[in-house]
Amino acid sequence: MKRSTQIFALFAIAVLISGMTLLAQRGGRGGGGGGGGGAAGGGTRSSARTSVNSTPTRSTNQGANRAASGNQGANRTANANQSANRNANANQNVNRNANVNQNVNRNTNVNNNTNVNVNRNVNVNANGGYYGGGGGYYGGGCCYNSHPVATAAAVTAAVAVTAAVVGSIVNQPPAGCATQIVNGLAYQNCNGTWYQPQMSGSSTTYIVVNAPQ
Amino acid sequence: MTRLTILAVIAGVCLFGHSERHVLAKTGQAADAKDAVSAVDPDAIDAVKKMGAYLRSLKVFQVQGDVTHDDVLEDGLIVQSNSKIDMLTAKPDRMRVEVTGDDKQRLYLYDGKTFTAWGKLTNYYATVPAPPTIPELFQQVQEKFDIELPLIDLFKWGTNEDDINKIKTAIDAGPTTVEGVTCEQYVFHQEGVDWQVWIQLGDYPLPRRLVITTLTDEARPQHTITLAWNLAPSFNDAAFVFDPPPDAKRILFEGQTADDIKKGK
Repeated sequence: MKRSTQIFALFAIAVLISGMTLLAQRGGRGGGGGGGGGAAGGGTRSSARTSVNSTPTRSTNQGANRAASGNQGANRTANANQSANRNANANQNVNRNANVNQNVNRNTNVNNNTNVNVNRNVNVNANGGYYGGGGGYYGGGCCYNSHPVATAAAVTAAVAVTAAVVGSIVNQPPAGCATQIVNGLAYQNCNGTWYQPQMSGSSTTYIVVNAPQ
Repeated sequence: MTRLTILAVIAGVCLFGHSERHVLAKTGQAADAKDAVSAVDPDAIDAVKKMGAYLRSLKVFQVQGDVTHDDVLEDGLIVQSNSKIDMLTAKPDRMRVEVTGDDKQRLYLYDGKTFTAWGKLTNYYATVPAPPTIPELFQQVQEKFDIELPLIDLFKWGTNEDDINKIKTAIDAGPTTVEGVTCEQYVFHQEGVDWQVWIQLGDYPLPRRLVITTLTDEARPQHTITLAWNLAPSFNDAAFVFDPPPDAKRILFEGQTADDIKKGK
């Protein structure tokens, strides 16, 4: 009797220990699978390769450029941003150029609220169809306009439209432009600022040009 | 007796625990040593070669693809998008490709002389003089305009032995079906990507599905295409020539200038 009790106790402990080990292992495995994580952000860092036999010719960034259709324009606007910087006219591009987001995201994590809001704002504006349609994904969409940062950004953009820098690129021209055909090519004349639409990868973007002649 | 049985049970439990740990360890090693180990099934390589040779033999075909594509956000989340491809090809110099996605509808036309891209939603089109063959067209529009025409692999397989030599792991995963068609599934690893192809069994070794997993991002985004083939499409020459719809407006490809248009470039 006594011995069998001992044996039973031993067995129970052994089973318990084994069970715990198994649990621990499962937990470990589950945790490992997560990967990634990290700070919230809206930019696209990469994209699945679409071909086995053809490596992207435009470096690894190509994936990012291809982006979630919606984001493509976003990344390309990097150029616009650069020119803005050169001309000390950074504000103009903030709203329209998702690349602003990328910089903001990378460098100023301190200012988390700003990052998130600016970012989403850009996605919604620039990529209307994609993220707008997605609805659920950027689910916080209810509050863009009411948030002070988002509102401020929007106001800045509205003001800056009149001072567009030649060479800057946006995903959409401002409202109230007139389509004009000059030498067989279409332009958007926006109160004297000329935007030329162009096929850019799989997107259409608009580059600010001098008045065509 | 009783004690022996109990000991056996204990031993069994311990062994089970041990064996699971062992499996885990092996998995870890396999991931680390993936590039070092070369497990190339020659039959799988031959299947790709055979498929490539067969694709090269096709002069005219229509192929429709259902595409699922992953993009990775900065925080590692994957956003999946879907699109459809409808491609009509008459080698060596005519091609018509429609790509229909959630927010984009593009038509690409190539008639051996010019290449035109038309966006249905914007009703803008851009045109450039084009090189004389389809493979050159693929390369040129990608390099010059960052336009990635779909299904380039269909034109690459069977053209360059180097591509086959890049394969470091090749496995025959056995027979299965894609959309009711009996296929053999193969799995490959090469630098930067894992990929799987489902090749139709029988006299027409066509790729029926292709899954490409990108390894350079830890999120491992995938690109999946399921293909439906028509090897005897009916069409006429007009299928490859752009006839601008009403109100369609011409624009430039990024990198083109208005001067290029004047000079006929």
